[in-house]
Amino acid sequence: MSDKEFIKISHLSKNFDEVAAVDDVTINISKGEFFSLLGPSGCGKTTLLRILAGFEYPSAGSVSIDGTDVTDVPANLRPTNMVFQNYAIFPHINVRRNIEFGLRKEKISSQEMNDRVSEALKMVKLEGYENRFSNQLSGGQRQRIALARALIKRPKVLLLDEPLGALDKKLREEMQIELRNLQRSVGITFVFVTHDQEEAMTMSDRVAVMNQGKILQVSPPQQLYDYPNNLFVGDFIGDINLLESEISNING
Amino acid sequence: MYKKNNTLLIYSIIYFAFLYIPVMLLPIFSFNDAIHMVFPLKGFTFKWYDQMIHSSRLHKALMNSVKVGIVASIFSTFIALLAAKAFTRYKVRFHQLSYGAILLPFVIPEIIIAVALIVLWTGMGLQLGLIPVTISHILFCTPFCLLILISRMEGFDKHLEEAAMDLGENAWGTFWRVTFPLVLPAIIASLLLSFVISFDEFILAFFLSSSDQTLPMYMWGQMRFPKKLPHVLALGAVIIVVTSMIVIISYWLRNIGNPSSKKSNIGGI
Repeated sequence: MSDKEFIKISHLSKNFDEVAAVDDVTINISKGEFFSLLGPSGCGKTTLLRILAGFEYPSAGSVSIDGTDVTDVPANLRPTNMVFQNYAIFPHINVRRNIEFGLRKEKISSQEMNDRVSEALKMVKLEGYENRFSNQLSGGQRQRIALARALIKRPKVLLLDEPLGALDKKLREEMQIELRNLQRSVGITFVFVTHDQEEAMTMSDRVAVMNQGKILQVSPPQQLYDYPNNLFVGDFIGDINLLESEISNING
Repeated sequence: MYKKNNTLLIYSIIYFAFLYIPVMLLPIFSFNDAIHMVFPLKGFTFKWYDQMIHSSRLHKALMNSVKVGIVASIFSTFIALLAAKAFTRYKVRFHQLSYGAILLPFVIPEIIIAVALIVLWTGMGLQLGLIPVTISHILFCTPFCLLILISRMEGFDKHLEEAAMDLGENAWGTFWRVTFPLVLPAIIASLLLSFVISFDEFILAFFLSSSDQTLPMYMWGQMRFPKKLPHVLALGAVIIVVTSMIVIISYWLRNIGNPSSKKSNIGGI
């Protein structure tokens, strides 16, 4: 296993009643990479992410993380954590107990637990919010709590399902930068799902463009913009001028 | 222009009068110092309540009803909770069919269930009594519990359960740490409502209880003796007050902390 193949997805397919949501996808994601899955809604990007998290099992193909095959490993035993689109903050317990939720299974002292909770809250700049409940938080704050709750587990891979979709434009742009900085400082591999081209382009090391369950192109943002390898990618990434032409003659 | 008219208002007044005037007569006559239920009222008295409190057969019937109600409500809520979890979270094979099968006691006449059970129970050579009554009440209450619990289970975000799994909890831990606390108000509502249903159920108890009377059977038995009528009225008045309170509490609990059904969802028992 090299760092280039930290997450190895090979020939992965997922069918829902004859419809292929994910169709023969093969990607390698490097260690510490900020990797985005970009595509229109219904393209299969969320299904792919949910397979990585262990919420869905693939119909065919395999997934391995850090050299271990996790294709049949249930979600609770995977080295991944997820930030949900609607954040899924537990409404019946406060912020502190939300954040330490995942540490219960790890045998650590209460001292270390407290330290890690404080550290996590500091990381997302929400110190002093320990006793609040989900309904007393704004969308942006909930998003940070979801992030802290996932990162406190020190996962090998953090999965983010359109986490900025519910925020207003200004907050979204702030969070893009913050998330990117956070990813660099913790060094965890991020797999980020979005339908927002600009978001994917500004944050990611590499972007995979998906449509109808297939990966069309995997490239760094600039290359994706400059050299789209097919019509859909070019059209989806930016405004392009399409000139229809006809091959009239081939010489040689 | 829309013109306001009072037809609907009058209709609803008549409707509520129709519903509640007969019920209101019970408490009124329970304080009336006369054996017969006729106007004009004579004098005010507590003696029927006094008689009610000092009747030992009534106490026994009350205890029987409470025992049956508690056991029936716990079992039917438990069964309904498992079913609600399955129907809302898993792909159940023959979903419609099994859902319909659980709800069937709603539409089967109680007397059919009663006759079927009495044949089955005595056919197996078993004694009639409170046990078959309890079993029949479990059967009868489960659909009510299922409807209450399903509406709550559907009302909360299934991503919460996924989040718990994602954070390392197995199915058992996820249920106790996330699902159960979130469904708890509905569980309590279901316990209370099924208790009330079992408490005032008559037909099944009548067929299956043999000599162990439940409270409705006791009341029915007393009706045959005109002199005993007033203290049944007193008992009726107490039951009306207590059960209305239980039902109100259960509705309140059902919607507590459940933003999706805050203002809707009043019907449904």
